[in-house]
Amino acid sequence: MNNEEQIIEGCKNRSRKAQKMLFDKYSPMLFPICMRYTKSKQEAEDLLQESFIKIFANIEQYDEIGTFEGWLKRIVINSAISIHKQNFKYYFHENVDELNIEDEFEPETPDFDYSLSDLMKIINELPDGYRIIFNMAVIEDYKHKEIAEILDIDIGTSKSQLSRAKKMLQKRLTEMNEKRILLAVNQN
Amino acid sequence: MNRNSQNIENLFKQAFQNVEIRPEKRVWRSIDKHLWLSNFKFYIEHLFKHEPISSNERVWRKINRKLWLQDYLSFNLSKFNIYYSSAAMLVLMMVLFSSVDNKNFSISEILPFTNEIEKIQKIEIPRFENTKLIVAKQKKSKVQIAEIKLVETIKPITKAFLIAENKIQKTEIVKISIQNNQSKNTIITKSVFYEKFELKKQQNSIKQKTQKWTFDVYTKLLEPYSANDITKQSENFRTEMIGLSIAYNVNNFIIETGVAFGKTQNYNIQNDSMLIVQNIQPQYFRIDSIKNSNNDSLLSTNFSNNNLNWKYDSSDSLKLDTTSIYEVLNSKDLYKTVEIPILFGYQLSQGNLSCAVKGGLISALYFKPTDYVKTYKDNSTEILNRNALVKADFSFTLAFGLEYKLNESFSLLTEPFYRKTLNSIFANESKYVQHYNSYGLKLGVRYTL
Repeated sequence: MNNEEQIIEGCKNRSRKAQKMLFDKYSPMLFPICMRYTKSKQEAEDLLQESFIKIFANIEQYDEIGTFEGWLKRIVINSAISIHKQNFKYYFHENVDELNIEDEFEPETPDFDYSLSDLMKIINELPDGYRIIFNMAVIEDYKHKEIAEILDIDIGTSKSQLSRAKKMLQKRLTEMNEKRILLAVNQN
Repeated sequence: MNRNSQNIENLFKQAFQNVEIRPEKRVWRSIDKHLWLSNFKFYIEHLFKHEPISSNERVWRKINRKLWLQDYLSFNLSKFNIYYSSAAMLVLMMVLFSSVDNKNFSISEILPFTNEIEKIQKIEIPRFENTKLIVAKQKKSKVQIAEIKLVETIKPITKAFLIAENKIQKTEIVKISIQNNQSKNTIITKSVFYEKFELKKQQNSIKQKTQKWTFDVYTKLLEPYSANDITKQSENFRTEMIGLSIAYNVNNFIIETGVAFGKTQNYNIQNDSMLIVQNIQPQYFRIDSIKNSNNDSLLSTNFSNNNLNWKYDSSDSLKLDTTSIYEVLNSKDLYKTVEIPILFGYQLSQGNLSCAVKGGLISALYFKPTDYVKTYKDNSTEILNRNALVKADFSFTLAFGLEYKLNESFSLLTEPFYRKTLNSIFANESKYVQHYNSYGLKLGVRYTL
């Protein structure tokens, strides 16, 4: 029971062994997604747990159209979204006048190399609404129309949130750079 | 990462592409705990997944039966219910009763036996108008005679015969005479009469078709009737009654009513041997200051703040009448009962044994004695009684009666029964919870008229 099909079949028959194998095989891929959509490692673990419970409960519905990995990712992302869904009206509430200004923003190119943990930390520090839309639009390549439909918001809101998220990320990266320079100067 | 060729999007996109981070082992352990229950549910559902429809149908059938019963037991003008059933049964019995006398007796059936005349010459009986059936019975040296006037359209001769037979008890029939205007003293023997009318073979069944009145004297025990004390595991009430009933039986159908008197009592209280007497004032003692040691007597509400607990002991210098005290204590969990049943049923007989199935409504009144004992300075006591109506109670009952005939008039009867109480008699007693299902046994003697 090593290939994907056998594992899936085992999971459909509620085999504990198959379920463990599926977790071992795909959790390293899904855990970073969870981390990107949450603020802390603890929240990410909770999200991963909830996602796998949904995966095992609904695995009969996997119709083998599209990749299994894609199906798993969709469940994790949907689980992440569903956690925040009840607060969306607060996340995405904004002043319409600000939208035009923000949409014009084009982020500058960062100047330094960044580790994965640095970038993860910066994403985790984003407000929930910014983080969700940035992840969906940039990392998962969702179109603004799709994001708007999934989150039940305006396309304009999705764009403006993404723009603000980028601006905030750039600000964080700049701050990080300044700290590094300062640290290097002090060390010399 | 190339810092000059990437904008922020590319920076993050490339950074997170194909990243793998292995979660802590505790995550799987948490998932595993949930999976146990989830998988178990899956297996159970899987077991029954081929019969989801039949399972639902079974549940629905149960629900439907209960709904039907609820509808049947409650009165609704537009729906068939138990009240309509009772009325229909009553009408049916009336119809059957009235139809008994409408049977015409065929003259051709009586003619052949006129050839068997024993003492008198052969005669013919053209009509039954003004014809008498005479049954003569010999009792020691005397002969008793009963006469029944036959009218062609009213009474068949077999029925007339039985009525006449019943008029003379405790003797053997020796002669049967048929008289009319044309010929008097047509007498045949009993054996001839039986033979011609095949009465020997059908005697019992013919008798069952007749109408009769019965009177019962009985005692009955109903247990566990009524209640549990909510503070205890079991606090059963027992109802003991004596009663009289009168029943009218026609063509095996029975309608019965009567009256019964009795008491419904919490018999567990008698096991409480220890009494605590409070607020003892040797010169002036009131039973109101007594309660049971288990605090469940209704008297417990009469406590005073200045309690002087004192275990009652018959050897104590206070000479209290323990019997009276127990009676009073018991009276606090005692209801006196009067009930009136209205039952309908059907009876079958074979030889001396009869069995009957009966069902109907019992209306009961519950009275609560408020008696107490007062002891005066000279140690004399006085018991005062007051019976207050507490509650009217209605029950459905279903009984299976067995009757053993001792002779023509008297029978022994036993009747186990089930009783479904429709309302609680403990409306004012929050400490009791009504039991709506109870079982009992009725024992008695029946006199058949």
